[in-house]
Amino acid sequence: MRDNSEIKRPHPTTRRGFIVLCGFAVVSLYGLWASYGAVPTSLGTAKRAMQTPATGMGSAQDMDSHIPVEEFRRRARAFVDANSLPDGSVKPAIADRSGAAYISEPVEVYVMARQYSYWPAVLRLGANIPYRFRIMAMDTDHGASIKFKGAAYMIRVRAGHAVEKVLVFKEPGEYPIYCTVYCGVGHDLMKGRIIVE
Amino acid sequence: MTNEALLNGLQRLPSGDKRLLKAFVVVAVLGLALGLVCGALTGFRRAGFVSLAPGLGYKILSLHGVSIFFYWLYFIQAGLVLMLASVYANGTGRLVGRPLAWLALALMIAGFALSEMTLTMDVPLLYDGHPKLVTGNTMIPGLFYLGYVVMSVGLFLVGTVGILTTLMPKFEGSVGPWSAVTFATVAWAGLLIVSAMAGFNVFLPPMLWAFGLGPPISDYAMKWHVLFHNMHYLPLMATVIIWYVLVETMTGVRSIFGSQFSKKVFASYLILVPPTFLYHMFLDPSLSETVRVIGSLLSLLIAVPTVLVYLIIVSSLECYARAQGGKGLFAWMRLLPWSNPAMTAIGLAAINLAIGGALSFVLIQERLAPLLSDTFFVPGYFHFLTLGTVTLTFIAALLYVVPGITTNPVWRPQLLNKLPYVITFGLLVFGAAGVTAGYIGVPRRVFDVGYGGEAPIGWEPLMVVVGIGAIFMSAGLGVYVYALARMLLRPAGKAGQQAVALPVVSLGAKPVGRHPAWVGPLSVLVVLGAMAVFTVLGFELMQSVPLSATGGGHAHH
Repeated sequence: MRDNSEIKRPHPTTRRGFIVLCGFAVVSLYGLWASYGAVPTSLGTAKRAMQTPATGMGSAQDMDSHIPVEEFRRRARAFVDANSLPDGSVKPAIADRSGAAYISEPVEVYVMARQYSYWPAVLRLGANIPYRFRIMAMDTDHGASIKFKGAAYMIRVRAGHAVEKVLVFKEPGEYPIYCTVYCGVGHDLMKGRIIVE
Repeated sequence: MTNEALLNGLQRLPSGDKRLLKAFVVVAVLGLALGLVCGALTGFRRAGFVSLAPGLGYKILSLHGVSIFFYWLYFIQAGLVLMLASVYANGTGRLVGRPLAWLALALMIAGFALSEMTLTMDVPLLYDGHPKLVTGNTMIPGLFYLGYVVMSVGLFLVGTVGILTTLMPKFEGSVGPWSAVTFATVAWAGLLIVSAMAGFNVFLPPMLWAFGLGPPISDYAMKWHVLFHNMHYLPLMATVIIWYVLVETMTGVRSIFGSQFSKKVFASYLILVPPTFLYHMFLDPSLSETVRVIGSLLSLLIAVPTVLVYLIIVSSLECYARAQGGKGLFAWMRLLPWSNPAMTAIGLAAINLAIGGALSFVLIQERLAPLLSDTFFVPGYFHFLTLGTVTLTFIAALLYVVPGITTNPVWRPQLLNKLPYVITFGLLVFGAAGVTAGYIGVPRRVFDVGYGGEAPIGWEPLMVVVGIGAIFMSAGLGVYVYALARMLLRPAGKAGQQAVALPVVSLGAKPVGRHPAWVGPLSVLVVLGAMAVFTVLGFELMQSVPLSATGGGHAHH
């Protein structure tokens, strides 16, 4: 039996080069990614694209990700004690004790994820205000998926490591939170709520 | 080599080798049966068709994952790699180091038993065995990890026997240059050894910790994902090797691109697949943005070897079919032996691979990880690959291997020929609902998505549709398992009898000529379009979220 290397002028679609080209065709998705700004489009923008989140708002590798568990617990308690409302929800103050609004810095929010609840379970936030969320899984790994009208936004948290994210909720509404990382038999029960006013 | 090579090779195997291969296949089918029952129960529980307490539900989910992802896939790969090594690579047509292979089988069975038994006890683990979930008594979790470690030792020995069987005749000078199938078999056996070593790396430290012999585990996620990635792509590589063998067996067609080209493509798996494991961890907060972007870019290469093997096979088939008078853009396919259940199984496996592959490419874009990573999108797409592609292909191989080693005929081939359609229909229903559920945020690994009546509208109805899909998937697979069990457990036919009479064609008889091959490239184009559509949908949904998020490695505006 002969392969096409023995055939004079095989059809272009049966040449090895054509096959290899087709095999690498999936790389063309890069163009689509680039059109959504999801990947760098030149060496210069590559550097910027890769640096923006880390330099802008801090990444998971910044110093806060190494807050010891007990220190995080202490800060979370202080945060809840200072901001609790009578209905049990927590509404972070958006002004300091002198009454000056936090305009240069995001408002601090601490959340502990643990089997099988978030603490605080209900947060009341303001629309279009930046909040610096610090979330730590206190026992095993957890997730936090914030469900919006269409899709959801998911965060994964590793046990004993604080994840820091600056979140700005753009529309008022009530958004449920679900744990998305299996954390034990009560995983289905782990939920919370963010009320944006 | 003709389309008789596989059948004759199986028939010529010494009876000791046949007994060994049969034992591997029997245990593999047992793993498949257990995984099927637990998978069906998981799907039905999720849909609300059956009621299970959460603790029992998660045990069943774990048993499903362990039975299918570890034991069915490892046992069947072990059996098939040893079969190919002895049938195709060995001039004397026998296994080298059979006692070692029996030891490997015994170890893998011990691992299987330990994993399954411990999961029925007080072990709060899923199939990935994350040690942070272990609380209280660590002895039973220790035995669970021991099961994986013992299985890894067995797998290491299987890979070693596979390589010895291919290399020894070479050293003895009793065989000529390796065929592409032999070359691929060596790569497959080598990667089974790599998988085994990755298994030690992940499971040995938590086993020692659980038995009080080692420190607590802090770096599990990265090690797990290295193994997990290997476990994803090894069965896929095995799938295209099996296609390569079965197409030749059923049609007589060999690659028009030559054996050397096929060898290079199989070798490319070793280069292009390992560096891409990062995409499984895009949501992990320990990864920097730079690593995530690099991970996305590398992941673009992940499908290249599989697409190339697919093109080699489909374009070769098309050219030979046209040389035999096949016409039209698709009409030449009528010349293929569609009444052969193995042909139907790999034909639909190729379609399922296209669907699953198109969906999987949404997950390699790191910016979409916060939208989809831990949602039902993941089981929605990967069942097209695990069941629709890999399992269908391995079953297609067994329709030749089991009669070859038992001399029992294929049970009701006409009925088996319909099963790939039933399973694919089920997958389309399951996948459509599951992927939609994923896009709108339904988490995976949650049994009660109603959240006590607080869940968003649409979540529970979508899970009911998922359950309906699971009915078709499990029914089709259940008939396959019954057929295989019946063929395996019946007393063997007469010695020397050749029981396989599945329909084949001889397309490879005429020279190929200067014919075009359009279907392969066109199907790649269609898959590329589907990838683009699913990706755009992801980006658009992401942009619709009224949230700006930065930090933790992810930016979203």
